[in-house]
Amino acid sequence: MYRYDEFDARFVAERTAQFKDQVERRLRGELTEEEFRPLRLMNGLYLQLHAYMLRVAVPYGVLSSRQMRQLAMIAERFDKGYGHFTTRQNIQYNWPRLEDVPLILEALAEVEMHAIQTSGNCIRNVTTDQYAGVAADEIEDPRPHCELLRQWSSLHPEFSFLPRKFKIAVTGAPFDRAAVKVHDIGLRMHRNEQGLPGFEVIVGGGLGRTPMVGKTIRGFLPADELLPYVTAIMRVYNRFGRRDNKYKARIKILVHEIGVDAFSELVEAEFAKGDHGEAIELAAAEVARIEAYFAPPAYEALAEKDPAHLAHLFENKAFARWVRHNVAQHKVPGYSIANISLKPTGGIPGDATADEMRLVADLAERYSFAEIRVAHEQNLVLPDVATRDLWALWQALDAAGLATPNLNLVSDIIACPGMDYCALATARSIPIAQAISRRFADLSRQEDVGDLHINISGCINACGHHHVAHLGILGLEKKGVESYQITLGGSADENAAIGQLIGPGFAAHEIVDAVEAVVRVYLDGRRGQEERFLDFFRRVGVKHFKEAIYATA
Amino acid sequence: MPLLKNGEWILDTWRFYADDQPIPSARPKIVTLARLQGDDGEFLFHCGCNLGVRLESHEKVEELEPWLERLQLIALVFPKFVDGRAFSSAAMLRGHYGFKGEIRAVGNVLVDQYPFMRRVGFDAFEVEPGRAQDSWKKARIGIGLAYQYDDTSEAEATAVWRARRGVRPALAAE
Ligand code: SF4
Repeated sequence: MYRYDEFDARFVAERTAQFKDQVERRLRGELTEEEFRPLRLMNGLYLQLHAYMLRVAVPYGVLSSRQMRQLAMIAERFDKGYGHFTTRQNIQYNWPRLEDVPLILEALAEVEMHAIQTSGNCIRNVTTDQYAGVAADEIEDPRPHCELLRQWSSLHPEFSFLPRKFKIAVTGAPFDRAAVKVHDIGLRMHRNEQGLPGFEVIVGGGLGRTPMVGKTIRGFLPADELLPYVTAIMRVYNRFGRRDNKYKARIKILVHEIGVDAFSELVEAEFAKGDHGEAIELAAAEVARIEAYFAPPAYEALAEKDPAHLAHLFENKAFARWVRHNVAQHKVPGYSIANISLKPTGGIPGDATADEMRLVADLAERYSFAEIRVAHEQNLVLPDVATRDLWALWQALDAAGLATPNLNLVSDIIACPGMDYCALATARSIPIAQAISRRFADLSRQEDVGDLHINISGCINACGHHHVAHLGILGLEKKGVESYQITLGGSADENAAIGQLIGPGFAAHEIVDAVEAVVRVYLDGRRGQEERFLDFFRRVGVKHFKEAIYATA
Repeated sequence: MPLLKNGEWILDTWRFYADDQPIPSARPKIVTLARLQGDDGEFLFHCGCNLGVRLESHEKVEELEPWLERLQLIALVFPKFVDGRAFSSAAMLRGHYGFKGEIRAVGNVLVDQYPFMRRVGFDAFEVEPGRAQDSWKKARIGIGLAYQYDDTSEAEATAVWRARRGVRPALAAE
């Protein structure tokens, strides 16, 4: 993985020192909260319902064991013993004290981490496929370009006061695990006829109040022109994005209002103005330098099939079930990608205790070249496990309660913090996730239902990405009472779609029954198990669900 | 109003004239874009002294094209510090148009934005009275490194990617 050189280290150290000075000025009363606010936001520090919240960037979701141990230490020393992995592949601490924040940032800098640009109207932490570099279906590893974008966007002088926050996602695989079509800019890698890598550039996707699927403005952009082209997009957005209404300020509204063709023309005209020779040369040299850090680890030459592994699969049903759901195909024979679900029955999605983090760090060291990934589904991934080690890994995870075999099943729920932490929430989301997870605790039943993604947001801002869930839940407030709306048929992959509302909301005590009713409609009507929930929905439409559910209610 | 130019506090010799104010002939003056585009716009250049223009944040730099060669100063307005459009205006003036005159930040600007402004090409800052002048000086000690390649004021921060390639001297003395 990427390692800081002297420049990166000094950059973060200077930034930390700068913020330390700002916190001290605030604590001494030299800065008012109003003056301090934009400064703390640029360093990932939010004021939440009960306390400050610090959001730490995990660049494109990649962590080393050493970094994970430091995150555990911070959770223990400065928080209540746990951290929360988010849908942005980041980690949040919900209870730091302001005076400790500079110490936390110093501890992060020691392991080459920071909280720069995890909030504010700037280019946020770039996200990518959690299987980047190891996925069997990958065209090329997207991480070097993610790192290029991370550096380029860090404290960008022109783009730090944008109309609104800005999110870029990159995928190197045709199967999109990074939800690139619902980001401000989505980049999908392709190869051209000459076999050279480049990106399809998608703009104007996003969730929130006005969910939209992004539109392609360039089918193929040579990879080395990425930065000048993204600069052109950012400049058009910075100049012409709306600033009169914060709910209309995202790039998706600009693209929608002027039309994708007009937007694309503006970008191409801006791009054509410059001579990008130096930019291309510098970026190409940087990518080459960065790529060396992402050279594949020292894989052993292993057979595709391991006899002992096959025997364990045959003998142990629980292990077989975990492998079936949580293990994905690796591009190297004899290796596997192991997912660690942070969604135990009745648990808080994405939460991990300091002990759990340490265990994962140890296991990554033993079995996965000391590397861990954070998935936007709020799970963790060990990307490079020899298939013959899966059995030992599973036993260790199982003993710690970290082997819930529910990836992509009903209980693999994405949920935003909601009313339990978030100052903007209109309803609770974590307790709803917990209740659904308990209702569907029976794994055989979950397996029977199959692929069904549930996402929950505690308000219209949609941090839980409910619009792109197969079954989305949005918590609202109606006359002082929580009301939960259900949308169906959303999808975040390469066939991205926004879910459709099935009808009036449900009270908190009804929502779990309503979810169960949706599942029953599917089970009753599907053409066998091969027809997944989403396929079924696309065949029968929202009306079918609506009639069935509100008729029985 | 106090003026910070190239890191020094100096006396501001320029004056801004709103559209309803008569323009004296002999002093350096800043006018609005509307005045420049108006009937006597050309006439302003013939009175033998320096001319500058003030561009509001929604006004496009492209509008200045006919006069860029003859303008000595462009004042870019920040109506609110969060309105970052002028950052792009400055970057375009230096980058696309190669404008060599003064680019001045006016309006609601924060001391913490100063390093960013320097790096997109601002070289002068009208500071709101009451803002502590020494904190403005201190803000120059921002971050001594920049990853961006299209930075127009390399003196402010070491350009990391160039330094890595040895194109420029490595780290400035710590
Ligand atoms: S969706 Fe709303 S409640 Fe949930 S985290 Fe976002 S702002 Fe908070």
